[in-house]
Amino acid sequence: MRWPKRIGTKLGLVFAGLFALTMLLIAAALHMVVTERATVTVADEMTASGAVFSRLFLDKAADKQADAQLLAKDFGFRAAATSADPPTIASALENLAIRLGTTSLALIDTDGMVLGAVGKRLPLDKLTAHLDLSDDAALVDNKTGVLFAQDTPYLAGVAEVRAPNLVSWIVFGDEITSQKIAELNALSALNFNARLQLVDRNSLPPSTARQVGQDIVFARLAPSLLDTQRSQLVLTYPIADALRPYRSLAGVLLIVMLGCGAGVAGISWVVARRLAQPISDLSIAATALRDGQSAQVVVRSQDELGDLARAFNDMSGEIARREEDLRTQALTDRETGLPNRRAFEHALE
Amino acid sequence: MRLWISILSLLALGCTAATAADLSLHVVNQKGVGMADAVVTFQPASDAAQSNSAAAPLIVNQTNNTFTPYMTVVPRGSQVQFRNDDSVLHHVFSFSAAKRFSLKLFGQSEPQTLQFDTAGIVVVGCNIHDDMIAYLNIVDTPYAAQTGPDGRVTLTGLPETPGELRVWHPLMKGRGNTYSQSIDPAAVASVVRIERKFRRGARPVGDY
Repeated sequence: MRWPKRIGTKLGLVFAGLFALTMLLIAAALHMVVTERATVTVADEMTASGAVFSRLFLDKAADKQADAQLLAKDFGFRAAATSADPPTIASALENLAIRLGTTSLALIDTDGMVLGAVGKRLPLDKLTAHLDLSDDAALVDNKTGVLFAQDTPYLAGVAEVRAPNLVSWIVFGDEITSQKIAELNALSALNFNARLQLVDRNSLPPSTARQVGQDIVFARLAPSLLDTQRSQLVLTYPIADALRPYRSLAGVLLIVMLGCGAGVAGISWVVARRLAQPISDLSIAATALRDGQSAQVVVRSQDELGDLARAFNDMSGEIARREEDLRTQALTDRETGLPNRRAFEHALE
Repeated sequence: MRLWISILSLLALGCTAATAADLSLHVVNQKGVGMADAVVTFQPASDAAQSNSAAAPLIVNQTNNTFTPYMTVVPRGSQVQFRNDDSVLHHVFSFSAAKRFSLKLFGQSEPQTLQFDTAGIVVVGCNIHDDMIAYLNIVDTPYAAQTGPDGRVTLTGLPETPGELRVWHPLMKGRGNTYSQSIDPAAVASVVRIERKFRRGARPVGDY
């Protein structure tokens, strides 16, 4: 594109460009602030939801553990559990699973022997180590928590069977399906993607929410049944979704900016034209003066341009007067004041 | 009448001239604290001595919702009578392999007597009082005794032949809550110190 010749257009373009640049900078700053703000809002919500989820998990597990503990005191169950008859034990466990409303159940004696197991298989070998079965029930730190069997998380717990000494442990586990997590998720204001995952035991404890790729990610340690397992609740939320509430604001801002941009361009064009017009007039008048015509410009203002126009008019008038003088002197006999021979010749031509 | 139970004897410590047939033991935990209610038995290797069942039933009382005594050594074939001294009823039971029984809700005027013909541990509870617990150790040897409050005990009148010494305590760590070692009572001059790991856990109060 060729750089325009007219000063008005030039000034208009320069002003519009400057304005656009300023607006871009403001927009960038606003975007940063808004993104920051949205991230913080989502992070706060995640922290709160994470705490609520953990609390609900714990409460649910604690309730079930209390139920299991109570059912473990049932005389009939204890009689069956100590019967040393595997079919009877399995049958009693199935009944207990129905009473407790749990998917997986197992009975482990204080020598670490699995007396019976129903439902999906729990990692009983790991549990045996956790229970430190030669030890007292009071020494088992966690009686509830998340338990991973391979990659499947269970909400699990243990309850002691006393007859009346500690003879065995009931281990229960409920698979934490994605549907259950989704139900929990429905309680939070934002629709997070939530999941439980097994993490390296030596990994650093998760901190606050942070940006990972196109998502905001928050991780929180989940209460684990086993000390040997470390599980965490991970919440993710797309940044794009976080910014959605601000999208209308961005639209309004864009319209305002375009309007202002057009206004600035127009006003600067008008201003530039008003500035350039007297100069343009002077240029035309000067050309006319060069060609020997009398030239006067209209004085439009009292400012420097007005002074210049006035000075031009004076100069133009003065030049015309002197030219007239010279002409008169050249064609007049100085002694008599009559036209001389040159005037006569001029007239003949 | 539990004459076969050795009376706790601190004298045994200073008794350098103890007969070879006496065996003094001190059962302590990992911190060196004497453990009460450990049952020690000696079974001679050569002599398959049988226990003499007690002439009269041994008594386990239920008083203030507590079994008294907490620990009873029962010669195999003896009878044990459960007496309820409380105004409330008790449902005394055991799920132990050596003797499973259930004495449903009986009161003061209805003492229940059972015979114990199988050696082993019988843990006794009450179905309506979860905290009540008592142990019967049914032994198959005449050489059995339980430690006193300081963890000391003396087995008397042992044959001067090698045999197996067993120590059992409900809180002792290890399979079957039991520790055993070969010993020749004739060759032991001083107190045998038996230090084992015990898990935490207090006896219910009010047993003594």
